[in-house]
Amino acid sequence: MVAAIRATEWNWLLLFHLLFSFALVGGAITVVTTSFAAVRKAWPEQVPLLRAIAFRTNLLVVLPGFVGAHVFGSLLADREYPHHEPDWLSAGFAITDAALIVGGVLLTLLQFWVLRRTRAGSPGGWQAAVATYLPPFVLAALVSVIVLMAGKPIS
Amino acid sequence: MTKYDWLLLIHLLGAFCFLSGSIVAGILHAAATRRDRPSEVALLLGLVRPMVAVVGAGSIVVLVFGVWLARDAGYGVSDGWVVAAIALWAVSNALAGPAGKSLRQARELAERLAANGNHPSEELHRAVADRRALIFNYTSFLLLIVILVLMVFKPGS
Repeated sequence: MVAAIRATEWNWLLLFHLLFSFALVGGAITVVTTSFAAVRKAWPEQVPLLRAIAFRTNLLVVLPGFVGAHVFGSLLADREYPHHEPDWLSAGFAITDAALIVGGVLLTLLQFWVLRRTRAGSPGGWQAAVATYLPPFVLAALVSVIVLMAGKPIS
Repeated sequence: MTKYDWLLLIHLLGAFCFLSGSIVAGILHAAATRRDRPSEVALLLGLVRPMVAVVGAGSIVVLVFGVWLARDAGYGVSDGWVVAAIALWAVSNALAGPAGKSLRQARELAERLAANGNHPSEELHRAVADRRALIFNYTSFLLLIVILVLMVFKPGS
């Protein structure tokens, strides 16, 4: 089966763009799940563990996922639309850039801060609240990008 | 949006539920294998539970809308790459079933141990890191990657 595959540069770019995108969304869902579990009152002694998983997932899965999906997406766009970028693609890149800055960089730094505070005995505060309620917005931004990329609702 | 765009969008959303949901389950399972306290293992494997529904729904959506999309785009359902993808989808799901059952038993054991002193247990460690379940899970995920390769390259079309 593998021998029958006629590889083209375009297809490899699409494959890696998709692989990084799946990892990115999987990481983002993990961050949402563990962050919300960390604020449930039923498991107060598990908060450091859940905050640590959220931080490490953002650092090791979400951030590389953002970078990989963006890089391969840009290479793909350059080949498919060399002269004029359609609006849906421009909108998709703009949302991804904003999500990368907020959800990738700022959220990772905030989660590191929250993790240190939690380990020092202060699991609450506005920092923890932002680190909990920001990830769903990042995930929603990613879903909107998927809708733009697949549905191309604007020309 | 055209009919093709709608079909592709729903097919892709299903694929994200299927593949990304599997990644979530993998991350939480991997974290659980590194914990000793039953309460921590029970918590992490408990968080996997909702993902099972997401992955299951995604696997159905991706198949139904994938076949519909292939027909709409002019590919035959009997084309080699479509048949291979459907066969791999079936094998992947067949492997994920027993692996999921093994994880459920590990979670139930962790919950029992957590309620009875929460002491580390070698039996729990073996159950969470069950070699057969891990092999089934990794193979199942690898098959999903092969399906993705088939979807992108469409060999023989």
